[in-house]
Amino acid sequence: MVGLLEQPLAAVSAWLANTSLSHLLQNVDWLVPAIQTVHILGVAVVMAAVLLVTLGAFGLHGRGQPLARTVGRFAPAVYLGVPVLLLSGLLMITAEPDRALPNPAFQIKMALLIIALTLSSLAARRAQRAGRSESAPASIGLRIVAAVALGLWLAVLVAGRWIAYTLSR
Amino acid sequence: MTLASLLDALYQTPLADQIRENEFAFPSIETVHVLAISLVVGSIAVLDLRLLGWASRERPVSRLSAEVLPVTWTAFAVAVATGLLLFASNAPKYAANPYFRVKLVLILLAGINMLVFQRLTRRNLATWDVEAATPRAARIAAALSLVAWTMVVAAGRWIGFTMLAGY
Repeated sequence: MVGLLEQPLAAVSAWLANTSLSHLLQNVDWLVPAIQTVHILGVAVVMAAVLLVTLGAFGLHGRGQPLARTVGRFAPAVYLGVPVLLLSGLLMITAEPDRALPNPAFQIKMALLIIALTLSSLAARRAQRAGRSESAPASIGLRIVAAVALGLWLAVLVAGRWIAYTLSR
Repeated sequence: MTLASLLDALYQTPLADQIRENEFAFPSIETVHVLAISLVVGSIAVLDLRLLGWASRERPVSRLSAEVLPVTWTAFAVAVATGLLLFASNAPKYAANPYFRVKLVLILLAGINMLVFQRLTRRNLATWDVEAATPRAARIAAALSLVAWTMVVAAGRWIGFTMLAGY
């Protein structure tokens, strides 16, 4: 990515690979696949929640109740799922820092993740302000933000899977 | 035709060859497969948590099912289609992989659990549709479903690690 970050990233990578946690993760065969399983379950929770809320903004989910309520129903899933994803992700990085940190797919994934999180929380806040009592349809603006955020979450998933196939260095 | 020759014939098809040869094909199909499975598991969990009485307690079960199941079934169809393509790319090896076999059995068990729920437990749905508290049989079905799908995801990941195409 940015040439400036290359050196410090390599240093962090080398340090991380030498920690006892990293050694443990490398030496116990089932740990990394188990952590990846938890990671995918986290993806399942977040993606389903984001999709259903987005469908809600388009009037295709949670019909007959205010959008704010649909958001309220699924926001906790995202608040729970994202920390699980960050923690399992950190463990995967610790297991094999060189597989992730210098990998362009990983770097793109992190950038997309920040934008996706920002847009989603923006959309959620707007939806909750828009109508607490009425089941009025979401505004065009809100629909666009929600759809773009969903697209970004998809891109995060794609970049994530691509880490496995991108040769670093 | 034996199973082995059938698997070999599948391996020899031009489509399977394309998936092996084109370096973007396998990761792309696999990405769609992961997305589809995520949506199957995530959407089914929405229903399971309602049946357990842990979430969406104010939504009638029938209404929630009608809204969520189309997502589940669409995602499941995509997961099966992409799964078949991944399988075709290396059919004999996948068929011999123990985790692949376990995964198929788990999906079958999840299906049987769902059928039992649909045919028996849901029959008197009208009497508990709007209740936050659900019958014991519904809670058991929901718990079994969550366990089965979690194990499907795990088995899938273990296939990746034992086939070593890229994990």
